Amino acid sequence: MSVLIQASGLRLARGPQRQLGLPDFALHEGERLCLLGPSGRGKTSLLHALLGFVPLQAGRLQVFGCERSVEADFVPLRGPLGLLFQDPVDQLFGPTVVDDVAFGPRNQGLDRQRAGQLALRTLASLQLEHLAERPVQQLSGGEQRLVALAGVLAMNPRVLLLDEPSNGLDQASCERLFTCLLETGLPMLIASHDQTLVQRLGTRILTLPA
Amino acid sequence: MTAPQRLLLALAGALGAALLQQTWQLLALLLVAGVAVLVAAVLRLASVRWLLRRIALLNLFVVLVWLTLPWHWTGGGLAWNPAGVEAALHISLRSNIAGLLCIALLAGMNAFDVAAAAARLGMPARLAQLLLLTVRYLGVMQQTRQQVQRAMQARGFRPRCNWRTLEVLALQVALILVHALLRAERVAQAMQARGLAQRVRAPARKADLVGVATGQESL
Repeated sequence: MSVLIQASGLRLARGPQRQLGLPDFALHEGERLCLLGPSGRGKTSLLHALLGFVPLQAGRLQVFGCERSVEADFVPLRGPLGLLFQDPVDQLFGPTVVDDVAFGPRNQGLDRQRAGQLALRTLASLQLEHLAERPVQQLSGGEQRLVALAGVLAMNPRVLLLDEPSNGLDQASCERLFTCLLETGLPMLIASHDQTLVQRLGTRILTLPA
Repeated sequence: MTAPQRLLLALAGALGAALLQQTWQLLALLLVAGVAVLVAAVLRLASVRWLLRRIALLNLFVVLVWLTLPWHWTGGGLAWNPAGVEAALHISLRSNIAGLLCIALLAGMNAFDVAAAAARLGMPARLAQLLLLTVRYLGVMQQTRQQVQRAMQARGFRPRCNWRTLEVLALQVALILVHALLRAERVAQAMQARGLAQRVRAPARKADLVGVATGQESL
C-alpha cells in the first residue's frame, strides 16, 4: 500500500503564543482514516495545515511522496487534496450551484463552457442536476453539503479531507452523504465526532489525546 | 486626567484644527500637539519606534493628498497650483494635529474605554453601542475574509494579472458583504432575544456597555 500522507512530529501555531503538537500518522491508498478527539484539539487545524493554510512550526510532512513545508510546496496540493470545510457556507461562492461547482475547474485552467459541462456532469453523478440553476443561498443544509462535495469532486481529487462532514445533517441527509462519499472510492481523512459516521466510513481511527 | 476629560480635550483640539484658518495658527497648534505626544510618550514609557510607526501610518493619507492636490491640469500638461499647495498644507497640518492629539490622549484606551467615556460625555447609548459593535465585528469581518480566501485557495484559485482574477476578487468583496449582512441580521435577532429592545432608550450605563463589549459569537 503506498503512502499518500505522512506526518511526524508536527507542531502547528495556535495564536501568537501557543503551539499544538499532533501525533504522527500516515494515510495509505484505499484507507479512510478517522480523526477523533475533543473540540479544540486541532482536527480542523490539521486538515488546514495539509493545504498550507496553517503554518507548520516543526515536524515533517510528506504528501504524495514529496516534502511539504513552504507555501510553494502546498499550492499544487490545492485540488488533489479536496477539502470539505466544516461549514459549507464558507465554501459556496455561487451565484448559482453550477457556477459554484465550476469554480475549481476554472482555476485548473478550463474555459467557462468546459468547466460548466464538467460541473453539470459532477452534479449529475451525485444526482443533484435539478439544483444546477438554484442560487446557493436557497439550498437546505444537506443540499449545501452535497453541492460543496460536488465542488470538491469536480477538481478530480486524489484524497478527500472531510471536516465534520455530517455536522448538522438529519439522518436521511447523512445516509445520502455517506453513500456519495463511499461511491467516490477515494482515500479520506475525516475529522468527526459522529460515531455513526466513524462506523460507516472509517477503516482506521486516530485519536488525538486530550 | 480621567478618560472623559482626555476624550473631550482630543475632540476640542480636533475641532480647533478644523476651525483655524491661518497657517501660523495651525503650526502653533501642531507644536502644542507635538509637545503633548512627547510628554505622553515619556510618561507612558512608549518607545520612539512605536511613536514613529503611528505617525508614519497617520501620514500615509497625507502623502496621497500631496500626490494629487497641488497639481492642476492645463492645456499643456500638469502645472503647480498655489491654491492646491495651501489646501494640501492645511490638510496635512490638520490631520497631524488631530492624529497627534489622539495618540497623546487616547492611545492606551481600548474601544470600550472610549465608548464608555463618550457615553459619560452624553453620547447617545445607541451610538456608543454602535461604536463597540463596530470594533467587535471588524475582527469578525477579517476572519470572514480569511475564510473566503482559504476556501478559494483550497479550490485552486491563485491571483494572477487577468480578467478572471478581477472577477473573483469582486466576488470575494461581495461575499464578505453578504456574510456581514446576514450576520448583522442574526446578531440583531440574538440581541433582541436577550431583551435589547427594552434598554435601547435607557441611558448608557457601564454595565450595558460591558455586556456588549464582552458579547461572544452569539451575542
